[in-house]
Amino acid sequence: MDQATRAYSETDIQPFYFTGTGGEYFRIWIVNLILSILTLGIYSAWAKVRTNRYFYGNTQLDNTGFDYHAKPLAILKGRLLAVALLLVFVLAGQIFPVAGIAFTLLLLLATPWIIWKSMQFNARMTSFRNVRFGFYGSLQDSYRYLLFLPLIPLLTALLAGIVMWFVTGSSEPGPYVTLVVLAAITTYLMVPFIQKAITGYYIGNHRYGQGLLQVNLSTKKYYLIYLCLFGWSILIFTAIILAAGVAMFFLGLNIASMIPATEGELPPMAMAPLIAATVFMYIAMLIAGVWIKAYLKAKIRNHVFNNIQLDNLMRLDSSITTGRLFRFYLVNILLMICTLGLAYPWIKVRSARLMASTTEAHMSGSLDQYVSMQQNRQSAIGDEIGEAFDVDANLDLAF
Amino acid sequence: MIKGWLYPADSSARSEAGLSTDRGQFIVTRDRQAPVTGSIRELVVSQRVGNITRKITLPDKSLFETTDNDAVDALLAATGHNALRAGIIHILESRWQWIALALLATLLTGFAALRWGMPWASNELAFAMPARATEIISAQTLELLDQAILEESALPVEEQHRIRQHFETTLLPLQRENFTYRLHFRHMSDIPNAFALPAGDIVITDRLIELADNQEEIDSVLLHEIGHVVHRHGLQQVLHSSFLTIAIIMISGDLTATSNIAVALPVFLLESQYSREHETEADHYAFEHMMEAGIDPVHFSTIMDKISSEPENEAEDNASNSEKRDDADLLKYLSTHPSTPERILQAEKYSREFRKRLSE
Repeated sequence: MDQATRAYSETDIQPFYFTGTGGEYFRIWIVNLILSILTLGIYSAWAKVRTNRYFYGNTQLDNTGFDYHAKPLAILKGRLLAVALLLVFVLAGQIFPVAGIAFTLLLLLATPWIIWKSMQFNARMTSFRNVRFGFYGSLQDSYRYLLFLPLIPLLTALLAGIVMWFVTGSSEPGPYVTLVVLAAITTYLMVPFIQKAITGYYIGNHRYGQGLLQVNLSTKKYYLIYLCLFGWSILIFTAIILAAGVAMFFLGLNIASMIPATEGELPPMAMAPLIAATVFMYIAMLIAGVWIKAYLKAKIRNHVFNNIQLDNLMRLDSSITTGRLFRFYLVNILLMICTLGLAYPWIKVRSARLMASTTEAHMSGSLDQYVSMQQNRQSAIGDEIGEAFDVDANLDLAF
Repeated sequence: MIKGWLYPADSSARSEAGLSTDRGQFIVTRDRQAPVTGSIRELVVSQRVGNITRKITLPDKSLFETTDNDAVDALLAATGHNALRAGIIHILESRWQWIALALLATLLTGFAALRWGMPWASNELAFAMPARATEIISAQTLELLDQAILEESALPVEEQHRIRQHFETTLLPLQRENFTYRLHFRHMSDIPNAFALPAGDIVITDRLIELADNQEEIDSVLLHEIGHVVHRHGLQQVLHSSFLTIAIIMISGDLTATSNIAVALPVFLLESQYSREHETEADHYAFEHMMEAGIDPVHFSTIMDKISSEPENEAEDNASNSEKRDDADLLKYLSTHPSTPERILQAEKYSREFRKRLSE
């Protein structure tokens, strides 16, 4: 029980709920799309604001929705800069592969800053009950958790390699390869810890008005989740490969015995079981991949949300299950394929509805005492660059 | 009266309230508190999106919010409030006629951009690209290929010299565009291949020269490559795939979208189609200039035949046999080149024309 030690009494359980519908959002989406096309992308900034307002506004708690306050012009400015950068990036990458690599490195270095700006902007532009959120994490911590921590094993290996080279002067590749492999393994082993640290940084530095959001994440729990996932993955993949092998064995035997051997060449029918088995494996692997994604998201989201609290007033409770999320993803994929992407608005609404309906707020008082804090003007540059280059702070936790 | 909540400025403390209007004035009433009034023109009303909670900011910065969107719209309409103008987007989003029109227009523009817009823009830009830029691109690409897959040619120097001499004296005078062509000989692990870089560098592999039984066959391949250079196919493809990548990122808002199979497959099909059109164009360039130089276009079909019967090309060739027609049709969409029999057929057509002219 994660919350057994909470020192306040709970009086009131309020569910989150989503009030939008697929049909309604489809209409907003298609108008956004055509106006963005007709204005050569300029309207997309207005479209983004309308879309966010729709989803924030329909995500409700205690009879009122969230709101999104970004000004389209601020978003447009950021977006123009981002598109210019993206253009340079793609063209440079196509024409000069070396420039592409340099640009990617630069982007990597800038990522913590981009995310930091983006967190500030998005928090500031979000309100609930007339009070704005805020993000007070430091830039230093952003670099620490997003760049330095994940690179520690590699940097250590590099240092060790240099020392080794100076001491032994050996140019044999063996020991150096060992170092790199060790660094890679350590990096993988650190993933749960890094993810926990980053999530803690993001959520723990948010405020609702003057109220502090706290999150007490357990490193042990993160490792447990990943360990279970690892176990399940091995089981599933072994089962798939075994099933494909057995199927191929039987099908292959049957068909081969039915076709008289022609001189030298394999009859084309003999390829059938091989192709069937390959297709089966491919689809099974895809589905297994979806399940893994569902497992990880459900477990991590529950753990994180169950440990979020606002002052001593409110805590969250998330109860999404792997099975439910897995079915949800499968239906989404089928919908997208069958409608050639036109089901996208319904999928977004389904997603928002699922996430809201599996979340509750446990309150021990009223939210009446919060006041918006004054903050500097925010530019959307970080947010837009982040969005264009897909380095947004998406933790798969959002609504 | 519109029912809702009233919040003091910047505060989350809310109390139930009602909003009504009277001759250009608004009145917000609450239990046990004095009503707030003022001019309706001073109200700042949030834009309507779907049916989300409407926010009305009063002159004293306190906030009235309500879920009764229709009542707010009616109030705006009745009082001629200036927030009315911003409501036009919501009207677009509410009428099915507009939605159907928007859907149709989106699909049409999407199709037109892919089918005509991008190829046209790639073509225009490729021809507008300064020569200096193409020089840099070509030099960089050749350097990279040399490091990665190409090795020095094992062909005797005299042979190289002879082919280059012939290339410069016989083939180059045939083209009237202003390119500086450079012929490079390379070894590429026994694969017969030839390709052109945008600035006019043409690379031909040892295996291809080995396969050719006479100079005419080599000429036909070189003329095909000159065709690529003249039509600036290399640049066009770079630009085209850049446009495609950017468009996909813009639409999906996701940089990793291009590695997603559902997106990657249509992109691949589009680019293959585009590439096949270029190959056909280069083939025609070769045929026409062969006829001009007095070389029978049939040589092109001979060398194509030899290339496709090389071991690593067998699979493709097999699939084009007539008994596997279905497979061949499918492969057609996946291939970056037109099918070999198709190209040979074209070469033979030109060859007949060539011989007819000779006999006249």
